[in-house]
Amino acid sequence: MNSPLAVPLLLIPLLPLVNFIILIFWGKAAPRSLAILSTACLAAATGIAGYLFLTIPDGPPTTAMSADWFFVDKQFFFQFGIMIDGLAATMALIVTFVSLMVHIYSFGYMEKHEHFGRFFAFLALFTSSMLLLVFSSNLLTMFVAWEGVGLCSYFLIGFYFEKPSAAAAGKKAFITTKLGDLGFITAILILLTIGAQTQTFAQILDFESLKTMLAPRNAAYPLLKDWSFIVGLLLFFAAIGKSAQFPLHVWLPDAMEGPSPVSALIHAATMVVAGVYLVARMFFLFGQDPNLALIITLVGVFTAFMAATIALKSYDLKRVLAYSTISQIGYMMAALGLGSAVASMFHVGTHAFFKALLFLAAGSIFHAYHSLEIRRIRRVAKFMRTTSITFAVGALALAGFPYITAGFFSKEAVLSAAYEKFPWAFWVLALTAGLTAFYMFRLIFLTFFNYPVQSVPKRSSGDDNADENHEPHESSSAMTMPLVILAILSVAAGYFGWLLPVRIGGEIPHGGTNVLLTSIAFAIGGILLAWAIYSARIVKAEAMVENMPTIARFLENKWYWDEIYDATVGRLFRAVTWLVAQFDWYIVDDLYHLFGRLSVRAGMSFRQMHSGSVQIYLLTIAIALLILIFMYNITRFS
Amino acid sequence: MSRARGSNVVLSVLLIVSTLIFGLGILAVVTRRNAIGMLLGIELMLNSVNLNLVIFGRFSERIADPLEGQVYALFIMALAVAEAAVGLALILALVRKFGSVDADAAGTLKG
Repeated sequence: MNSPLAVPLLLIPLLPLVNFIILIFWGKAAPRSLAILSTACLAAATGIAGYLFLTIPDGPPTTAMSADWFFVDKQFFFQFGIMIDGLAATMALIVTFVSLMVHIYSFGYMEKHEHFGRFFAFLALFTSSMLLLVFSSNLLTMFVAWEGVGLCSYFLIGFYFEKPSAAAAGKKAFITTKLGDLGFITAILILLTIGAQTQTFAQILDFESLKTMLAPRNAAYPLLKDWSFIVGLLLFFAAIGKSAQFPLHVWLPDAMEGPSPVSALIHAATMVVAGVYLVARMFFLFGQDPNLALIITLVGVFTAFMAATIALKSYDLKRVLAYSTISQIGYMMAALGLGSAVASMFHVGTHAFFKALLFLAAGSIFHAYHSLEIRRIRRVAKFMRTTSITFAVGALALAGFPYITAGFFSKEAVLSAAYEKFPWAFWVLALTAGLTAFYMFRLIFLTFFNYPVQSVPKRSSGDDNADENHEPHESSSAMTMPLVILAILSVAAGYFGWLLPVRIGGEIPHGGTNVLLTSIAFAIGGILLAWAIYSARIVKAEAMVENMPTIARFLENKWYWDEIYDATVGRLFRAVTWLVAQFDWYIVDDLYHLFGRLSVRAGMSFRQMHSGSVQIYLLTIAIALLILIFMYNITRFS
Repeated sequence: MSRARGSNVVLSVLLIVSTLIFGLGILAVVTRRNAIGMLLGIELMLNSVNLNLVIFGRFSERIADPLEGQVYALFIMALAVAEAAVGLALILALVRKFGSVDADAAGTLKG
């Protein structure tokens, strides 16, 4: 069963895992040298992934290894399996590469942090889980990796756990994604139940056999076909949680409490695309059901638009990027729903580069300014040359600046997919592209140049210890080098789009001149509008806010999602927990107090016997002995 | 039935004496306030048992040699000496700790 690919395939997730174990136990003793070891191993893993990406044969996936994992019964058993195909190889290369960049960057960013070793340990574990997720060949293996990714995100978002807001953000991310994971496990249970009934328990979780079982011309499993919609919906719910799509998107903006390299790794390039990857992996299920595809498209398009509007009125550098992430993942989901896995994966790839770049550059700005409040950061372009240029490249790519940047090509592919199928989706996505260009260049015009300082509210999230008298300066080369590499890739990746159809199969959609012109128009239009408002000041931003107070407040409060959840789900949970607390206090606690009081009372009565006089004890023993002898004789002679 | 070594009446009298001594020993141990008195009571109980050994050695038909019981009694006397030494050492420790040979003074076992 094991193919020669098993060794390199296992090696890729195992290298970071071993480093995690080393770092978590000995990370305190020699953090720097072990982190260098970890980075070197990751570089090796990246090399292997790159080699696999270039050399794996086209066509159907290769199951590299599958081993029996645990048995319930002769018939009911579970397998651990890894496999590789074009999709997995592409994804693995992206994950390892971005993770490598983040590792290098962290040497500079976390330089003086006392938990340097722990940070690298979690980075390694996270990378390992994500790679296992990418290579898993059945749903159960994937679920384990999926949970590992969620756990690591909790560790890393709450990395500054001494800060209450960071601890709360970690919990929020964990619980929200866990809600989605319920969908995953329920889908697995439904599949297993069907498998038990149709004698296919062993293979129903395996992607390849599930694919053949679900194939349209295969009529052998009507039960599975009946349930495929529900299973698909549940799996999509899990993807929604992990990929921060509406309605489970609320955790991702808060997750910006984590260190910037973490945001780059988890919340831009890898973890959040795990949901997209799941849908792409199960595309045989989602693609053939028009209702599922429509739901995915709707969720994707709506999320893309909603997140983009919230980003317009956000004042935290990283939160703007977080909302842009949600928005861009909306694009990827929409592309999947529209039936183009290639366009989606193309966007995943280019987005990984430029979003990692943007987050790392934002981290570099934070390093210099000790603030993420965009009303306070000024003249980045003057103080930080490399950071500002690379950030601008990332912003251009995200905005989809025509023909130069990678983002343009991938976004155009997504838009084309929409244009062919649903014109309404196309127009919403195109408008979102315009909004994206606008809010990114709002950031740039506000922070890079000498825009007059506005009044800043006292308490703002990204603003910890802003030091007014501090002269910002460019970050160290460990931090700028990954920025430059990623900036180059953000431009160059677009020209390698042709590799994807070769590796994944299918074709990159091209919608023709209309799509091209519309996307160019919206991208340039958004940039120009941002320039007009925030640089040339033809239209005053403040005046716009005053003219539309309701909309401004609506956006500033993030569509009130947090408030809505608090009023509904939050209130329900608080009511339930209140009831449970009452039960605990008045029934469970009282029961235990009762037992406690009983034993105290019993002890008090028994202590009367202990007079402390040895002679009385002796007398008791003698009398007891006499009684025993007496009783013995009675039983003996009666 | 093997041959009897003596009359049952004599045996009974001797056993009653021995039991009385044992009872007096218990009485002394339980009632004496003085720890040395208690030790004497213990010695008394020990010697009543010793007496029993000699008596049964003399009167039992199953024991071939009457000397056997007396040899045991000698051993136990040696043992009693050792036991008395330990007991006196304990009493000495008790006096050092509580400043009195009165058994009631050592009341720390009281719950």
